[in-house]
Amino acid sequence: MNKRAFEKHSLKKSLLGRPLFRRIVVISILLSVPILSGSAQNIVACQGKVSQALTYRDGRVMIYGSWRNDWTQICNVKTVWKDVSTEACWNWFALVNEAFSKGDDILVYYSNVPDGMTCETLPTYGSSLSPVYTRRMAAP
Amino acid sequence: MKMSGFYSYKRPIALGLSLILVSLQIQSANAGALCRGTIKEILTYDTGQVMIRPSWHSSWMQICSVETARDGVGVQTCWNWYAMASEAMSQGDNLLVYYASLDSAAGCADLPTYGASEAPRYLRREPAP
Repeated sequence: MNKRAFEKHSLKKSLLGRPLFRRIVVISILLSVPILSGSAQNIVACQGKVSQALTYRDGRVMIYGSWRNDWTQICNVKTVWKDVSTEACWNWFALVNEAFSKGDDILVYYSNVPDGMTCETLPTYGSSLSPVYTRRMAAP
Repeated sequence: MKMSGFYSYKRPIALGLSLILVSLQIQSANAGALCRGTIKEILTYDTGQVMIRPSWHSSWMQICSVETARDGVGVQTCWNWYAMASEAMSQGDNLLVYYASLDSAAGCADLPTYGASEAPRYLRREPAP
């Protein structure tokens, strides 16, 4: 073993080789992963009127929200879409349609919006984000 | 056939006493009360929980889940309750929700909320006041 390799070896042995130190490093890395990944996802609540609603033959439910002025998918009544169940989707479809009928506002709550993105710039169609909940607001 | 002493007179008395005790217990444990008011808002989570914001409470109350049975409330019942609450909201009608744990309607404003909400016994819709 040459001098450089020996120094590298002894450094590794003196720091990482120690169980306590190694544990601290591993725990720090594990803890930092959700913190770092979480920082890129924000909570965004979009409120407004739904001017159109549509359902594709394959079950995708889309809404045309006043906050986006484009089509946003919220779920799929036929298959689980981005963790949103079909049961929740049926319910959202009913909720959106009733709000539509009455002219009530709805609020779509997202917890997974990337940094810098707002209600006006949310991804559309197949790239849409999955909401956490859909809420029908009180009539003004 | 000759009956023994116990069967002839003690058994009906014991039965009667136990019936009185049981009915007393049921009455005291399940007084129950109705919370009456309009529905201000309604929401559903991606996991199926249905919540309402009624006029008798300042916060959100979960009534059921359209995805899984919750505290004895099946998903079919939940669909029905959602439709009833939503229609009542649309028409401005009163919704009456029966809670078994309440002794009187005075407790309606202090009922537990969100995940801790009590499952209602029944929902009833009546015309707007």
